[in-house]
Amino acid sequence: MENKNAVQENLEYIKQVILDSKNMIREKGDIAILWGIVIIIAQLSSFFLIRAKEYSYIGWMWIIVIASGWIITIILAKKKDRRGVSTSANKIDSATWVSTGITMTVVGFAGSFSGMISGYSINGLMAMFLGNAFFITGMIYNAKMFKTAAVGWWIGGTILFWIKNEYTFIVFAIMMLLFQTIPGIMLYIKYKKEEAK
Amino acid sequence: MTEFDSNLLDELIHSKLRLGIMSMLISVDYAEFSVIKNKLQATDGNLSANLRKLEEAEYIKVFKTFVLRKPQSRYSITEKGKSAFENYISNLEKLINN
Repeated sequence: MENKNAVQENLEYIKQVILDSKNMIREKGDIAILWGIVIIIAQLSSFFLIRAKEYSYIGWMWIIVIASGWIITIILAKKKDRRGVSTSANKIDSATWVSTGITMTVVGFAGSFSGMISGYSINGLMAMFLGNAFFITGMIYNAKMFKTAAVGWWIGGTILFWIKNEYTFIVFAIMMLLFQTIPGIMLYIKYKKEEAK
Repeated sequence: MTEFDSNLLDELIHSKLRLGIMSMLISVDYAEFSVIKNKLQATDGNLSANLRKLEEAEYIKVFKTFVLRKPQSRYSITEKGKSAFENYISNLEKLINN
């Protein structure tokens, strides 16, 4: 025979373990910060290179920046694999960002080098892809911050299609700061606080 | 205080550590031995023995892998384990609502 309170305690214990386990995979925000900074630097460099009429360097600068970003991302992602635990939500989120990153890289380089997409309209497209990925992350983790960032990317992306000069790079850099780097920093601060508990 | 029959509860799950293991594994795809140990604050020996019991009952399965050349044991819940756990929860709820 069992005491009713003991059964209630068991149920509470189960709830707690399930909740803790789901929260075990907290995103650090490090990859978001990394790409945010990398892209802001590249966007500002594009702006100043166009202003200086040094067009030939732009393509090479982007190749170096994106290749470096991917190398660092792979190193950081391998570290995450060593956490010893995995959830389905985490797998879907990772797959969303990897596929978005590949799509953006291919569309960015193939689109511009082939001449099919003008250099000034690429940012609008990229903003749409980012809005998509942020929205999925926001839905998976039920995170308002990411859903808001997604809306920011979509609205900003729409505006970018009307900016047909080098100021598209400045606007995109500001969007990258507001809708990716700052949310990434907030996530990192939250991660560090929870880790210290 | 209300008393009731606990025979309804699966004895294999109805121990604090094994209940913790099952609750943890039902929420993740897999977890490594060291992660379960830290989370449930168990000793190596006690955890191994309880994991083995659940493994023998086919409630959980283990797969060995190498991470940075170090062997790792990753545990995940089986379909049989999921249904046993769901059954256990449903019986707990029945007992409470009795």
